[in-house]
Amino acid sequence: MDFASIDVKGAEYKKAAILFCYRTTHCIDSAFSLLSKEYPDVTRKDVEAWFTELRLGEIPVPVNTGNQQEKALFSLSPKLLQEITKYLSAQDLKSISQVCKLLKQFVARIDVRIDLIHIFLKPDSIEIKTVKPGSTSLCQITQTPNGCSVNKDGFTTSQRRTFLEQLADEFERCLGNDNRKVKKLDIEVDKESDHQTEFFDKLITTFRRLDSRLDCETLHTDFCPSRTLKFLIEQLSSEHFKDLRIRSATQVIHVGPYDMSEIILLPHWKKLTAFFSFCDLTNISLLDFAHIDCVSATTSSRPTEDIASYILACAMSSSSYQLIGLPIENVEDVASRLLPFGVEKK
Amino acid sequence: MAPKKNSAKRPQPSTPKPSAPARIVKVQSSDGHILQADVRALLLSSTLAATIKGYDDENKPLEKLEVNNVVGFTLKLVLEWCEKHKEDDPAIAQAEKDKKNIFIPSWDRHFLTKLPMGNLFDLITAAYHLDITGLINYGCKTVANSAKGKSTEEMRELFGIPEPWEQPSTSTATWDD
Repeated sequence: MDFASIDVKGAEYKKAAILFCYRTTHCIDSAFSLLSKEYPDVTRKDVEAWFTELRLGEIPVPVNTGNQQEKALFSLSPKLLQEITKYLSAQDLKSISQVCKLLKQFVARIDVRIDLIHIFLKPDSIEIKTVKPGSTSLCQITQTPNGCSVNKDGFTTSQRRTFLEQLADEFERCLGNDNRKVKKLDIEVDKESDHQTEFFDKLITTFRRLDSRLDCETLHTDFCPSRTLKFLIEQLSSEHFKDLRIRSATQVIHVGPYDMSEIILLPHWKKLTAFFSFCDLTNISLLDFAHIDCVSATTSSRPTEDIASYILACAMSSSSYQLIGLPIENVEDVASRLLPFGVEKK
Repeated sequence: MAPKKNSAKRPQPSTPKPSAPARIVKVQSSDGHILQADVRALLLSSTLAATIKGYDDENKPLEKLEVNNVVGFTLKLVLEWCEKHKEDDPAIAQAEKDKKNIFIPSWDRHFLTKLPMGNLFDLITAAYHLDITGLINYGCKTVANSAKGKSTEEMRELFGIPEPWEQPSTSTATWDD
């Protein structure tokens, strides 16, 4: 290129400089700041007038051939990205963190994703295991004559409060950030423990202290009294909820009928994939079980019509295991209704 | 500590106030586009509201507002959104700010989902600069909705990031601070 021929004092050069600023998508302020270095007499108003003239003259601004979406994504402020992640589930955060290094760093830094919280009530202690991307921590709270001892990742301290009060404290600390996304919450209860009711009450109280319902995808829990189970489940947001498993830890504390009327109304019930109960369930229709993958339960006697509808629904569903024990008053009637579903004996 | 209650109720819009005659001002984008907007619409932006108040307090005539960090195309979208929401009670957007589950009204859903992802990002960024809470809420939720349930590969395609584990060369962002 013959640069020597360019007259830097000439009008052509000035016009080219203005055009360059316009076509490289400088804003008026930045174009003014650039041009005023070469032309001290240029005012901001001049630049504004030139840009308007260029626009009216339909001088095109070139389309950036770079990847606009990518550029825009990485130009978002951390605050906005955090705002976006507020609406995503733990699984979505996992997927987004695998998109690229920057997003991985970002998701790790905002520290909202927990892969697993496992809480295990034993007769005289409680274990809380927390698994986050890249780290696992274990907290063991043991009952002592003066309160409890807390062992966290190998370090032990003594506390004057009861081990259940300490559980509430540790669990709240574990959930900490109101924007936590929990992939799986697993609540296990040793059938020998005498503190089951109080244990579940503490968990529910902790959930209620959160500003909004916990964003959780999976809940696996042992049985607790009917209303407690309802309160526990309803503390979880149903937005990203995918899998509920309820199992019976003991036959001892749930003697007598177990009222299911409020539990089956929760949207989470539709996500139930496994249900193992030794209680005598009441206020639940057999059809309420039909969508569940694995069921083992007992209920009171049902009209023949209900039993036939349930069998038909099961035959059409993809459930892998359904075992429901119930007294049948009119066996012959049921047998005749079920005949079409059986195999003919020769 | 007393247990807090989960706030599941959606705030209800207040009764519309009797509409005052529109006060129109010019708004200039960073690339020199001059648009017109009703002051009530502009008041949804806390940044512009402060500027307008400054003029009013000093009894200075407000002829033109300059928005130096938003280009014309995006500013037009911002003003369109503000015009639609100028009667809204700002307390609604403020109350929804901290919620994880917000409801996007159907007009806003159509308005935001029709935009290509790049333009949507520009719009959210503009809303952030201008401090328009409602638009930030709806915009961010729309981006999140489009990413929801997608695999890593699908998200990579959505955000236009072709190579796995490759840091984009177009950015100097680190988000470390």
